[in-house]
This record gives sequence, C-alpha cells and structure tokens, in this order.
Amino acid sequence: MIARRALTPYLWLAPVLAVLLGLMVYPWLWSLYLSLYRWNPLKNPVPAFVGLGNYLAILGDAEFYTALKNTVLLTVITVSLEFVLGFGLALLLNTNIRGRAFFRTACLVPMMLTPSIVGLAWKVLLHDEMGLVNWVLGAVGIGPQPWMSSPSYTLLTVSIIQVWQHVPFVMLIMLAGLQAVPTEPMEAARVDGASEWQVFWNVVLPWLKPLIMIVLMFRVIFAIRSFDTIFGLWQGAGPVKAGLVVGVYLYEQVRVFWELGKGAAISYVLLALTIAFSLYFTVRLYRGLEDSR
Amino acid sequence: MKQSETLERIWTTSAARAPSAARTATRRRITRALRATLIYLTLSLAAFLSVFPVLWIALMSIKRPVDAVALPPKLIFAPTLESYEAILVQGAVASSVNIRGYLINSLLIGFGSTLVTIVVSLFAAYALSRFRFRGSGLLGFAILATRMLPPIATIVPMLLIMNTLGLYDTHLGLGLAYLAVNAPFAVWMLRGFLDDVPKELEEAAAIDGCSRIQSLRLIVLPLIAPGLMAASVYSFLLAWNDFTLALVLTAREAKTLPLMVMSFFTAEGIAWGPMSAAVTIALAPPILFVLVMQRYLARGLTLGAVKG
Repeated sequence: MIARRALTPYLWLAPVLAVLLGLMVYPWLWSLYLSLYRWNPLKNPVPAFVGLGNYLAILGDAEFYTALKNTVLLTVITVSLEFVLGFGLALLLNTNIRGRAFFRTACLVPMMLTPSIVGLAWKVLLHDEMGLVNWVLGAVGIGPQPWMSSPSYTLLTVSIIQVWQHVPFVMLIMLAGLQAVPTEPMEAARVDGASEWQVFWNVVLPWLKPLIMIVLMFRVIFAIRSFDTIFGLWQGAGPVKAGLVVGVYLYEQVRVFWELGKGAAISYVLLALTIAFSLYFTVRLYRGLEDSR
Repeated sequence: MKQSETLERIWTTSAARAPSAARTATRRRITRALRATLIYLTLSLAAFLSVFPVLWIALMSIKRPVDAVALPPKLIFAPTLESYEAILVQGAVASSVNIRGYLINSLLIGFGSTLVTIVVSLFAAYALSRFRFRGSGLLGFAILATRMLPPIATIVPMLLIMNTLGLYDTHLGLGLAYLAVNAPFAVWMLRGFLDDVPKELEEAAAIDGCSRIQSLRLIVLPLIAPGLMAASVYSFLLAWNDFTLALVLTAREAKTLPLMVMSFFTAEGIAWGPMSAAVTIALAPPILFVLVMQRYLARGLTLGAVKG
C-alpha cells in the first residue's frame, strides 16, 4: 500500500520521462560519444576513434571562425536593436492613449510567425529587381540595394528581418514589467520633487533590471541559434557564404559533407556557448537580486 | 500622475506665480497634445511596419500572378482565388512543392503531437505540482534545462535515433521529435498554472470520496482551462513553425509547410502566385492564434519572472 503510494508520482511522470530520456538524453549522450569518432558514412562506414580530433579540427577550421564571428556580430546587433526598439515601444504603449490594444495587437504579429517563411516573405519584398522595397527606395531617390545578392548586405538583411520578428517579444515582456512596477516608490519620488525622467531612471529602471536580464538572456540564446530565417532566404549560407553562422555551419557539416562525428562535436560547441551565455546572465541576475535585498 | 499634477497646480497658483498660471496651463496642454501626437505617429508607424509584409504577401495571393509583381504596385486590381485553387484544389505542384501535401502533414503532425504533448505534460506537471517526492525539484529543473538545447544542435542525435527506430521521414517520427522538444516547456507552463490552483479544493473533493483522477478531471481541469489553451497553442505553433527538425528528419512523405522555402525559386523563374498563396496559408494559423491568445501570451512568457 505504502509502496504503491510512493510509486504514484513516478507513474504520472513516466510518459514524459520516457520520451525525454529516449529522445533527448540518450541521443545526446550518443552524440557525445560519436563526437570522439570520425564517421563519414560516405567515406568510412565504420567510425574511427579520434579522441578530441574533431574538436581540434573545428578549432583549426577557418570556416568555423567565420561562422563564429558572424554569429556574434548578428547576435550583438540584433539583440541590442531588439531591446532598444522593444523597450521603446513598451514605454509608448504604457501611456494612456486611446487605441492601445489595437497598436499592441498589430505590433505582436511578427512574433509567432514561422521564421523560415518570414525569410521567404522578406525575400519577395527584398528581391533585387521585383521587390517592393527596392521600388520604394527608387521612388524616394535612394536607389535599389542588393539586399539578397551582395555579401556585404547579407548580415544587414538578416539583422533587419530578425529584429522585425523579435521586437514584439521584448515589447511584450517589458510592457508586462512596466505595468507591474509598484506605484508607491514612484509616487514617493514625485512628492519629493523628482522629475519624470528621474523617477524613470532611479526608480523604474532598477526595479525592471531582473526582467531586462531575463529578456536579454532569452534573446541572446535564441539569436545564437539562427538558422531558419537564413535558410528561408538563401536555402544555404548566402552569397559567398556571407550568411554562415554556427547553425548553418553545423548543418553543412552534417548534411552536405556527412561528417557526423564532426557535426556532433559542433553540437556540443554550440551547447557550450548557449550554457556559457545562460550562466553569464543568470549570475548577473542573481547578483542583482542579492544587491537589492 | 494625478497626484503630482494636483501638487503642481497648488504650487503654481501660489501668490508669487499667480499671473502666469493660465499661460503655464495652456503651454502644458500644448505639450501634452504634441506628446500624444508623436506617440500616435510612432505607434502607427510601428504597427504598419509590423503588419505590412504579411499583408502584402496576402494581397499578392489574391491578385493574378502578373498583377502581383507589377511595379509600380497595383493597389486596384480584380481579386482572384486562382492561386489558392491551383495549390489546394488542383494540387498543383509548383517547382516540386506539393503544398496540399505539406499542409495535410502540418495539420496532422501539428494536432497529433500537440494532443499527446498536452496529455503527457499535464500528468507530469500535476505530479510535480501536487506530489512531494524526492528529486521533484531537481527533476523540474532538469526538464526545463532541456529547453536550453538549440534545435539545430539536436539534428545529429535526432537523425541517429530516428534512423535507428526506422522513423525517418514518417509522421510518427517527426511527431515524436516535436513531443520531445515541446514537453519541457509545456510541463513548466502547466505546472505554473496548476500551482495557482489551491490544494484545498482537491482535499475537499477527496473527503467527499473523489479519486485523484476524478478531481483532476472535474475540478482542476476547468480551472486551468486558459492555461491548457495557452500551452496547447504554444505546442501547436512550435510544431507548425518548426523548420530545422523537419528539414533533417523528412525526405518526401512527411514534409511540412515550413519546408516550402527550399523550393520555390528555380531556373525557370519564380512561381509568384502559388508561392504567395502558400505563404498566406502557412502564416494564417500563427496570426490567428496571436490575435486570440494575446492576453495569455504575456502570462505564459513571464510566469514567475515578474513578481507582481
């Protein structure tokens, strides 16, 4: 009777655990094991042990560094812009103008769209000859730009699209935060003669800091795994591989070159990057919480 | 806002400033009107830019293909459903993109995996929320940690396991992959909603002879209905929107809508009509869900993050 009681929670958890263990944990452990082998089904059907050989090969691969550089650049640019624009929109929506709900709903649209199809849609708009954007630019005198075909424009194009898609996420969360700021400290500051700007800078912003950390963390984690949009645009790494980010690099190694061992190793490198960033932000978050106690 | 305004008015109507009180009031009214106008303009611009790309493609889809790419853009045109008819009714294959087939796959896999995900996650979330047992905290965290895994990084493990199980390029295979990816977040989200339901309700029901399953079904479920909806929508959208796993785990049979991006542009030219119709169809559910669920979006995303 007691034994059965004690088992109950595990029974309820069993299905989820079975799925996660079988389709997540086990394959990932298998990959870790595989990352120590060189296995290219096209060249050597039997995996050959190379120890850390794959990791060394990645660190010695110029393409990897290009991918890393592009990823970091893309992440820094898009997350900064997303934050500034998203927070700005949240501030505007936090005022008591009429029609707030309409504006908020409209601005939310890009957020849940399919990233790869967003790439395709923008590809149509940014088409060098037939695209609407270039026609508008021509009409206002700036002239058409080679969004899709020039390697110098590639990261810019991807940045524009990703910022467009993810600003709503920041806006939504910051708006929720702004609306939850306790009013007493703000009123107290105003009674003491503080200007609206001072109230914002010294009362509201510090209170929002944990939320800001969380938003930035989420956006960074999702930005470093960029893949869908780039494929939606170029079905590959872009003109002269200018759109090569770590995700695309990984895909190419696995599906184009069939280097499964190397691919597994890159997966772990990407995972390490993700964990590093998460830890950085989590630590800053907790340190912030400690300070405010 | 009101309190400080009142105080300001008290200060500014003191004897020393009495003469300019009226002027200050008017000046303030002008600045406020200016401020409001600026805000309206900026928000309107933001709203327009947010909606325009999708709107444009949707417009393209109801134009005749030749009108769709006309420059200067044709704003007055005779609407036609020929593109939709081509891809849905006739099952036209434009540049080897069988949109009708992709759509059916997306619907099947989307609904199927969501249903299983929610059921499985609900039981797990309930266990984490209601039962106190060893490792419940750690387990909860571990489940959430799996969400940190970048999808692109899972392609090697997924490819290996699906191939081994013989589920490569099958609906079941892709559905299971989505289940694995979705479950952690669904469990976390549902647990949050379940935690909000007081245990006393179930205890009272237990006294009246209700079993756990019964109280779950009759009492708890109705109370977390919005949470269930939110979790279902998230899971469905994740399956509907996924590109990476679909790209890697399918070949011919189980291709879903997001994969259309691989094929529309060929040497023969661009299939503008079918393409814009396909994009519109693919983006319709996400937009619909955003509109319906926006109230719950913030709640689901910030669960626990904002201490209100």
